[in-house]
Amino acid sequence: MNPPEATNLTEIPVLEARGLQRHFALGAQRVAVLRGADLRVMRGEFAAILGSSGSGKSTLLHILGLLDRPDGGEVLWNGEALATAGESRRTELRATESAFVFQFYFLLPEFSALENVVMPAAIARGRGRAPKSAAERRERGMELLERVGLKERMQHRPQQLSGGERQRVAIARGLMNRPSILFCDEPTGNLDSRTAHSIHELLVEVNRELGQTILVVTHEADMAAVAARRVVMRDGIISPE
Amino acid sequence: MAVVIIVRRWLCTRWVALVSALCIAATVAAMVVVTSVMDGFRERIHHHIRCLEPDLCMRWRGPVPRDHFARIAAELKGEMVAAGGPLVALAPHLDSVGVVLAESNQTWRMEGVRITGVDFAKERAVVDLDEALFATSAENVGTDLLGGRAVPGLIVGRPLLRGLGLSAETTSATLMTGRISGSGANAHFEPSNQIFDVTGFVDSGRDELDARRVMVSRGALQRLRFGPEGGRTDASSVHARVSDALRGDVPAVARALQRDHAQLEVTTWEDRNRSLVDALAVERRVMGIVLGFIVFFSVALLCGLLLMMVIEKTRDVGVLRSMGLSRSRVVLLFLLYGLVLGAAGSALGCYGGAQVVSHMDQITAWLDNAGIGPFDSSVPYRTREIPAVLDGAQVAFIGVCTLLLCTVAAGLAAWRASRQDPLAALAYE
Repeated sequence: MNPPEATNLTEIPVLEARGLQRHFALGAQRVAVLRGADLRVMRGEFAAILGSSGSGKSTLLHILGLLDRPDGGEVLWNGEALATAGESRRTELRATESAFVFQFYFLLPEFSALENVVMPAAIARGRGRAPKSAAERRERGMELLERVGLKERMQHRPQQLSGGERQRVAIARGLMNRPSILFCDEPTGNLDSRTAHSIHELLVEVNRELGQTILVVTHEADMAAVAARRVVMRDGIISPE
Repeated sequence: MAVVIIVRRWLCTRWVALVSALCIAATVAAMVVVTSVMDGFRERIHHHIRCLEPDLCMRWRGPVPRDHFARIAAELKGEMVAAGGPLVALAPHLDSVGVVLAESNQTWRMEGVRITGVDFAKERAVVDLDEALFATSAENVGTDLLGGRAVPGLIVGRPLLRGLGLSAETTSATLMTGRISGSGANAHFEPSNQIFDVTGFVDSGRDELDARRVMVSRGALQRLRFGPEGGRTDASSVHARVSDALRGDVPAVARALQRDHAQLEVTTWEDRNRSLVDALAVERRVMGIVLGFIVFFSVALLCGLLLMMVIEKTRDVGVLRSMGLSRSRVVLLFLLYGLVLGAAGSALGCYGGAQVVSHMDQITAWLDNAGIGPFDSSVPYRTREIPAVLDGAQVAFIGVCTLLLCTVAAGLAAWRASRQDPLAALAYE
């Protein structure tokens, strides 16, 4: 599969990282994981951060996704500096402007596929671009599940779905609130190659047809290959491929 | 919205939660039933005591005057209901000690007794005498068992009736008492005795008191002790009944009377039965503490369950936090979950306990039919049923306390859950 052309790119960065630094204490040692990482992701872009295990790419994603704070540097979302922003603002932005797709899906086991998909909208409570009413939420949830090919599995619980189906539900969930950016952390890392391929295609489709900005971190060349732009993470620093 | 959706789903899908709510319900119900039964027993025993014990007993301070009853009656004229006071009726009491003798099957039997001289009609106005008093023969039923007879009547305690070997055929007994005259080395005891007709017996349910209890008319006791010319006093004490509206708080009436009539020495029925009343109160308190511990442990079970759930749901909490669920809503999530379980358990327990108490008669009957009746008729107070008094305020108190404990338990779990770092929660294996 050929990488898609970057479409609808504008000069407004949805996401920007400036000189990000992050250290972890390992016993008495202080290990530097990020050593001044810089990155710009433009609206509608599908970017991939490629790196080997332990290169710091997941740490970078967590900081960019406001799940973690950097020790130095700045994170900007649509120009707003957020590295030291208050927890309530960061929480609000997580609810309305971003979504995560994790390697291990992390669906809520007590809820059906449809209920998992509409959960972010229930949390956002109509803020941002999230659907306002319960009927709207349900309608959009069904529409998204149909788009990811799970129209017939809406009422199934996660344990009744295969790994690939779970990841499709997770992607549909990520799109629920029409986020500015979708963060994907090794989205195919737990799937066989055939299923992984179908997830690649789905992400490309979402990017092309919905104009969804996507940032993927992966150690898989196949996954990175479908992205419009690829950067490499080595020793806590980002460099072009 | 999301919090309510999640809590509802957790409640529907986790049977462990149901079990913990049922545990709370069972212990709350047990507490309601046991405290209600304890209250029932206490009320029953109080009622038995008050069949023979007047609400208030009064004496003149210092030397007892000859017109003891008349003087106290005059002093308390303004305290009677007719004058807007708390007292319904007064009755004179003359107390003495002596010996009762009866011949049965050509054997004389003798028992030491406490003799009470009463005015039968006045006494019935002061205490619920009829509930504890029984005629020994059909012709005596409904009559003045003590006065208006050729041979004066005598009422004895039920165990004493048996002890003296008295029966329908053998009804006469001799009462011996006397008086001390003179003083110092010249003091001497002048005995006196008289034959009485045993017309009734008293069964207060307190065999230890009934075994020494003898009642005669006050006039007969005066003549027996002091001879035909009458006694040196008309009453040892004066008994009084408090109006029904104030019977629940006799001590307050006693305090008021004591304050307004300093020359009187006023005691309540509770003062005169202090050891029994206190024992019942202590028993109830101890039982409340024990049951409180059981409720506490069942709430601790809920707390443990919630803390386990926090651990089990660590990753889900991390996912929800990554979706933008705030720390305060995580607190609300676990708090609401624990509170719903606690409220359901408390409400179910209160309702179940109240249902058991209100159907206690049927339960006792069922136990009786099954041959495991709770009491046989020889136990004190002659009760065959399980007495129970349902106090709405007490049930509400138990429910609210349990709910408060559940709130603390849920709050602890919620606090723990809210402290989780979303990133660490997502990495949790």
